[in-house]
Amino acid sequence: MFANTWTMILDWFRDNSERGKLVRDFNAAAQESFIMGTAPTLIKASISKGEKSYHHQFSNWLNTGLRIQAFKGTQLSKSDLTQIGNVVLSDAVLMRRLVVLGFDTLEVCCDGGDYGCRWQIKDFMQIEG
Amino acid sequence: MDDLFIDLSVRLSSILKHFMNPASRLWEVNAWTVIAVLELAVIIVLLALHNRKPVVNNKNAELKKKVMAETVDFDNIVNSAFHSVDLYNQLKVKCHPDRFPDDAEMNAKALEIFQQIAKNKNNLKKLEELKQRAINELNVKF
Repeated sequence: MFANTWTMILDWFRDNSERGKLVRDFNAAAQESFIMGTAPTLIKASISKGEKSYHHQFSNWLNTGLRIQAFKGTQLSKSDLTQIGNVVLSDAVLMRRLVVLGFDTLEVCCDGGDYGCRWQIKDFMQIEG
Repeated sequence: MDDLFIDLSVRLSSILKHFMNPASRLWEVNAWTVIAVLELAVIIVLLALHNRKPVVNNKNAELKKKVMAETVDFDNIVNSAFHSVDLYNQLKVKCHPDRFPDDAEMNAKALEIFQQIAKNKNNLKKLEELKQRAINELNVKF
């Protein structure tokens, strides 16, 4: 029992570190694209609370959402937000990693974070890879 | 590990010194002594756990290891978010099989490329590869 608990604690710390790394890598790529001029809008990923009803078998205890914020200054249209979400959801490798790291919600929103879209990651798992 | 044992021995000796000191009464309840004993207990438990073979769910661990070994192309994801729609719209028109009604071979190639375009509509890198393929195989000009 103790060994299992110990392993769980270690896994939790390891997963948290991997989650942080994933978010940092995403932000670094977004920042580079924005600076190089290939991306017209700066996007930033962060870990959010997530939606309780979206939980799945691999879900983390807390903070199960991946929030992507688009900093454009003006309000992005719904189609722009859904496009960003669809690109993330259509990447099978990223989706698998998100599931394994305990994410269950993907949120895409504007600067303020008050308007956006939300997806249940479980619905977009691509089993065949 | 060595540091842990040194720490352990220092703590043990401090506790023993405290009890051996004639000025201190042996069974006097001192908060610091209790804390030291508790710390010692925690260290012993952690050492015991550390030396035990961890029980892990092999299936989940293997799955996690496999998934973590894959590399995620974040640059492509970020660029796809802004540029894939335009390229997709361009390709779906230029490579539509209906543009090659007379040549059966070209029509089959166009159909295959068109299906790939529809499948990878959110992947800029794949769309660029398909664009190159369309230029080479279908002689499409962009």
